[in-house]
Amino acid sequence: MNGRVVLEVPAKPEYLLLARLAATSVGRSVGASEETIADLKLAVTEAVANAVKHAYPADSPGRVTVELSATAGRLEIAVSDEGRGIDDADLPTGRGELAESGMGLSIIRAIADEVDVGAGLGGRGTRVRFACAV
Amino acid sequence: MASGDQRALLVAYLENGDVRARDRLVEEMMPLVRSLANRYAGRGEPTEDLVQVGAIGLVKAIDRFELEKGVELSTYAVPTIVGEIRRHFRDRTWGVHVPRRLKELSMRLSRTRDDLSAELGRSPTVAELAEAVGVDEEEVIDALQASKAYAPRSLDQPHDDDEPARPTGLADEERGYAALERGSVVRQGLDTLDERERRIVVLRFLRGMSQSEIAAEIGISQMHVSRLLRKSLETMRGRLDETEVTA
Amino acid sequence: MTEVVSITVPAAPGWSGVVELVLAGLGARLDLPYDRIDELQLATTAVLEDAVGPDVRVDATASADGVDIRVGPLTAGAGDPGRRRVLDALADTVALEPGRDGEMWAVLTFARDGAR
Repeated sequence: MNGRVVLEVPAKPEYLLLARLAATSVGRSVGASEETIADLKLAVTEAVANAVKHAYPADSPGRVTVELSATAGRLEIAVSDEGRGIDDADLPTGRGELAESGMGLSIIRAIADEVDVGAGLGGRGTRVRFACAV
Repeated sequence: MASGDQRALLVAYLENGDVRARDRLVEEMMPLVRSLANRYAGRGEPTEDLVQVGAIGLVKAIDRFELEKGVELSTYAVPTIVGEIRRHFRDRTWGVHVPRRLKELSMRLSRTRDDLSAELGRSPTVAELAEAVGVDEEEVIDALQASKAYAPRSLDQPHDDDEPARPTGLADEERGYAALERGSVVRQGLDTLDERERRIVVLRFLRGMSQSEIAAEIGISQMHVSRLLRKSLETMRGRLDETEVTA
Repeated sequence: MTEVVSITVPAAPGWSGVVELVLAGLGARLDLPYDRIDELQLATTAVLEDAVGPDVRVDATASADGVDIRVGPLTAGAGDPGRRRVLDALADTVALEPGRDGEMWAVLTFARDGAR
């Protein structure tokens, strides 16, 4: 079943649940296996958590947009914010840890078939897009 | 640990087989393993298990690391650590065929929901259900939603009982309903309800069925019957009050 | 403080499940009793059936008092009395209002401890 779902939520941790539920539901609609759905939920969690943590200053919270597009054999998810952009790439600090955003992206890259990170709409903010075959 | 030290340890292990060097590396990188494991905490698996599983991933990554490639070990190790954690979940959580697991959880939730409702005097929240059953809120939501698929969700769908062939008490209901005098106040009240609400009221008061029996008959939950009944009665009461005032 | 969750889905039968699941998540975060979540879902999906298409949007505004749900754009059939009776049984208030471009939107309110 092809289609596009767009979810917009405040960039706060309690709304992560809604993004995961949307991914589960859309994943099921396109007949993804439970394993693929779990992967998608994980990747969505990382992407939205990144936006929650980094996109907006603590005193002026913004919104996160999650777009889920289902087409034959493929589910694409894009998570965007309108806040400050993040520096791309994995940023190891050399202490056996990664900067939070770097780690989140590493995880997404480990899971999804395609990943790209760029500016959001209008050149502002960040958009993390990834896709999985279903 | 400075990059140079890390590299020295890697060389010692990968080129010279110095196992102590490897152990030292693992020790130094446990914070990475912990922070990855923590991300998957609270999803039904003890964090310490996840840390141990993640450590296995780290060891694998170290074993496979290629010195010439010029990649940082921490970057390289993340997918392997995450892969081990995910595999752990897969083996533990998805062993049982998912629809069956959801169905079993739905059944447990149904009983728990009734028990908690009686105890609380209201329907329980998702958090209360999750705590009572010992699963995540997300699983509760998923299972409760799955159980709705077994009953018609569209309120306007023609009900199965509209087909004459179905052997239910539809004829009885119609008779019961018709038995109310046309001009009766109760009949007027019933007229304000839609088909389904009316049916529930008739089943309850004219056929004396319990809410659970009605629920089974119509294909919705008993809680839903309870609520629709309450609202129907209030609607009827409102209507009946009007009538009495104007009479 | 009010917070808004929006979800836009294709106006076709198979997609109401996504809306229901997201509403359940919102209801869980707001600690609504599950019966109330059920009512929210039923009322919203009933209204979804009157969507004009190709997409339909659900805006859920949560406050300390409860949830307001706005759904649209809808066809004129959304005002059908049969439908209204059902919605009245589930939501605390039901209103239909014109949107910016003249289409119809339904606004349903659900007080937190609303079962009247």
